[in-house]
Amino acid sequence: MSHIRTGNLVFALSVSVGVLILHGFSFLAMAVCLYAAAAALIKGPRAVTVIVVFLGGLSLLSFGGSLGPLPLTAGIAFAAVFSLSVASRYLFFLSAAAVLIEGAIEGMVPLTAAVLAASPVKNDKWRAIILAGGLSAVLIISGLPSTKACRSLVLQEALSEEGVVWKEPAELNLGMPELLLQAPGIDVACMTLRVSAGGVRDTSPVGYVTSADRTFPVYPGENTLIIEEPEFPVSIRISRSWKPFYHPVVHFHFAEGLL
Amino acid sequence: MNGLRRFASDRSGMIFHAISSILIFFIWRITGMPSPGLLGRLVPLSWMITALVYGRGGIPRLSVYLLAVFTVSSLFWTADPGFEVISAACGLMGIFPGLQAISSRKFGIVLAVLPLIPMILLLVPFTGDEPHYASITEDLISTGTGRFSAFSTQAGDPLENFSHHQSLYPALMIPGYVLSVPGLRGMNILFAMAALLLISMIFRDSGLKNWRQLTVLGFLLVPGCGILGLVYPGWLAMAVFLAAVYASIRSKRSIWVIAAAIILILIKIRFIGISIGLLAALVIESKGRRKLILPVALVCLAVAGLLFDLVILDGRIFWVRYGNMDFVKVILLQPLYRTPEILIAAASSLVDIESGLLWKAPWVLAGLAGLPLLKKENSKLFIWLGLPALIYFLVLIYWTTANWSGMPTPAGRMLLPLLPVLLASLAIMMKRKGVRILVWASLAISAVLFTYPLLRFNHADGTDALVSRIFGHFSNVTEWVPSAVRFCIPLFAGWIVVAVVMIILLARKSRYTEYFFASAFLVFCLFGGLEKKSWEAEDLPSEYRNFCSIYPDETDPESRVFWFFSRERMLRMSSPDDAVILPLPETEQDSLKLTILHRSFRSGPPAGIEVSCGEWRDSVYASSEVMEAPQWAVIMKDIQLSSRPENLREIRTEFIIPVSDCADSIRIAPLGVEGGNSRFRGIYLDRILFR
Repeated sequence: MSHIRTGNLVFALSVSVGVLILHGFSFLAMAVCLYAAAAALIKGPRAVTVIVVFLGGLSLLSFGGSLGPLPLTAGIAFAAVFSLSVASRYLFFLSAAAVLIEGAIEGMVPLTAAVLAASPVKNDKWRAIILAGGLSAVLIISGLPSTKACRSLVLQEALSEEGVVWKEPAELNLGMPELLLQAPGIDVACMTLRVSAGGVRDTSPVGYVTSADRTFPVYPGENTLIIEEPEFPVSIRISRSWKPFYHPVVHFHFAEGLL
Repeated sequence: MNGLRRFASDRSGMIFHAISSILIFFIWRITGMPSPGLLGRLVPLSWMITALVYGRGGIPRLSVYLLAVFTVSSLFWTADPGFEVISAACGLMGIFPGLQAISSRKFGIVLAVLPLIPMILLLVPFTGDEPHYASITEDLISTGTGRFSAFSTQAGDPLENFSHHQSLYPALMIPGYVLSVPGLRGMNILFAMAALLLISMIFRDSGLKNWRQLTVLGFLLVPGCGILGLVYPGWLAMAVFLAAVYASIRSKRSIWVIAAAIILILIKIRFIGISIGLLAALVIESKGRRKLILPVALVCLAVAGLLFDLVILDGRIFWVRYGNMDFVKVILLQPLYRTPEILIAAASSLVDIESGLLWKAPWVLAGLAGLPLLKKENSKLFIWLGLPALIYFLVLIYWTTANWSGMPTPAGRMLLPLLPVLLASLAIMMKRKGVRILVWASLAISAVLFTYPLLRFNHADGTDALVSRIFGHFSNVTEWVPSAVRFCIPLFAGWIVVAVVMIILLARKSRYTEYFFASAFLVFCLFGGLEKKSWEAEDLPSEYRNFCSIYPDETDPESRVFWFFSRERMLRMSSPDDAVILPLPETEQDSLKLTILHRSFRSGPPAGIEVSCGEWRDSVYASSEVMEAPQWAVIMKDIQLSSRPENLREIRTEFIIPVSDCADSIRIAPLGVEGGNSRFRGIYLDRILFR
């Protein structure tokens, strides 16, 4: 074993020990350890290792957040094609399996299967085709992979002379599908919201504004909504799911609640 | 058939870029990534333009990798808002290897800029000083009200209807004015192209082998990047500076250097450092009697210029702006009373998260490491490029200490004159271990800033727009990055040590260089990924705030520029409805120590803080006293500090929270803030820490 390979493995071991000490054991931590070992065994151009290490680092940076497993998965899919070492590719598969078991990302089964199928293949073009097939299967079977964490953006409220205002604009899309407006301890008599929507190829609602059991559709174009005696939190949510050639978006412009 | 095959083989790079363009266009739409109409077209367009100008040549291997990363990451964009940014940036970064390949062709340097021009013209917001420069251009050609007339005055103007910006640079933009903002940007791209061509000619004549690629790297690696095409005089000054260097290297005639030194001052007085450096280089390079006569002649010329300005031009160039006692006091007092601030400003140019080059252009480390070698191998180039850069840097730090770190401007914009010498140094270092990693890390950051130009705008508040966008407010990363605004000595010193070790390893050709880079990166990532246990109050996400407001409410750092003790913004709790509600961090101990750093503005009854958690609650009443003004400020203006939140002494309050009696969150609320008639009444939170 060359000096460089030994150095890489020692380095991977140090990273793994660091992860286990600082974050404790979890399947995500195990995935990171396997990923580090696999990265140490990569054969091929230096750029491949650098990209894989960079994505691994990003994963560590947001270990506890929803971003954590994503760069890891992207790194696994990338390395499964470009690493020339079979051992490295199998370790990347094990790392993918650990991410799958950890379950933070939905719809990972076809991709993990593709990484496994590509691991023993020597021809890199075939590996690329298998991985492309795996990624396509992910899209066809379960749509875009998503995290299980429910994501919503809470907009900062501010007191005004007449009540409460939410003056910061915000954009909702499939990555951040929900916006919440809160007015803790304040009884609002009437609320006015200005939102606009688009990115779709029909005239059906792009999203909904919900206050308790009342729901108001948000149509493509400009929308001004008036809600009498709203109950908080008021939610603005994109109702469309992923569909090719659709980019559903809701722009929140302004809201005001009068006492 | 054979012809077609030969065409495909000769122009495989061109075909690859064209197919990739189409692929990215459709992947963007299939995955439903945001901004399909703008970014979703501009990124594929830049690939297509690269294909058109690529000519003969193979497929850059790195582009294939980056295209693969884009394809994979685009599938995950919905899973986290940060991934959308990474994905789009990878999409653009894929053309960078192609641009480097193009650079070696005829007109390659010009052709390599073309794919990025649509992004620069259409994505970059027109902000900061840009409209002010545009309004001066407008005033020069029309007396009526025009499209930029609303920006004709600005804070810092010495007199009414007299801008502190000078007129030469706006006058040179007149040809672009007819096309409005794109025209003005276009003129600045032309200035940048001129500077790049000059830099390439200097490198070629100095015998640097990879001068074409270096020049292209030059505009891609501009610290902080994306400043290409901005309506700021940096690139014009670079062109003038480099023209002088080129002329002196080629023809050895002093007149060009003296002319350039004068023009640089007329462009903006800030560039006086480059002028002094050029003249100093001229004196150093001259021989015999000229070495004695030249300094005397230059001093006479400077005195004549100042007299000409005073008598003929009514001081419009220098005296109106700088011919006053306040300016003289600034120059005299800085080294005596503000030495620590000057040193911090100098270090900030490297390590500060908002303005530091370590974070926005880490290749600069290799540039710094190579300077001794550049001096040894090409001392003439070192003196002509290095001396003006050094003196410019020193003048900048010395003169604008308070405005320097975390400036509200793209990081590195002010450091543009340092680029040529660092690039020349990089040329020598390029083959060394670890240098390419730094270069490509810098290119990755450049790609992010090209695709999301807003991420380069910082507000000198201690947060970095790019870090906040990718990792969000809940991330612990901000605790581990050094900031001159949120100054923490161990952290700041630690990162300076890391940067110095990197420079030493690079300079010594150590085989451990790459391992050290990877270790520093991964250790940072490991600690940055830990659970957040301390919060900067002004960064608290809305989830954790009931009302509350940020003081001051405007993001522009101009309003904090005369804050003497800390320029951090604060979270103001001024109404009984205001509160901060934080989740309790996980702990195995019986109790948690909560430390709150705050200022309490008293106007009427005493104000305090109440901390509650389930059934448990505790409160503290305290008022902050007004601090004394620093000595230099007293000497300057005989200042007595008024009773305002930024002038109050900080109070450190500690609470021991019995975890067993508590719910899973704590509530911090103000007490005694009702009544009182001061507009500043309230509690001003700075930092909340759990231990």
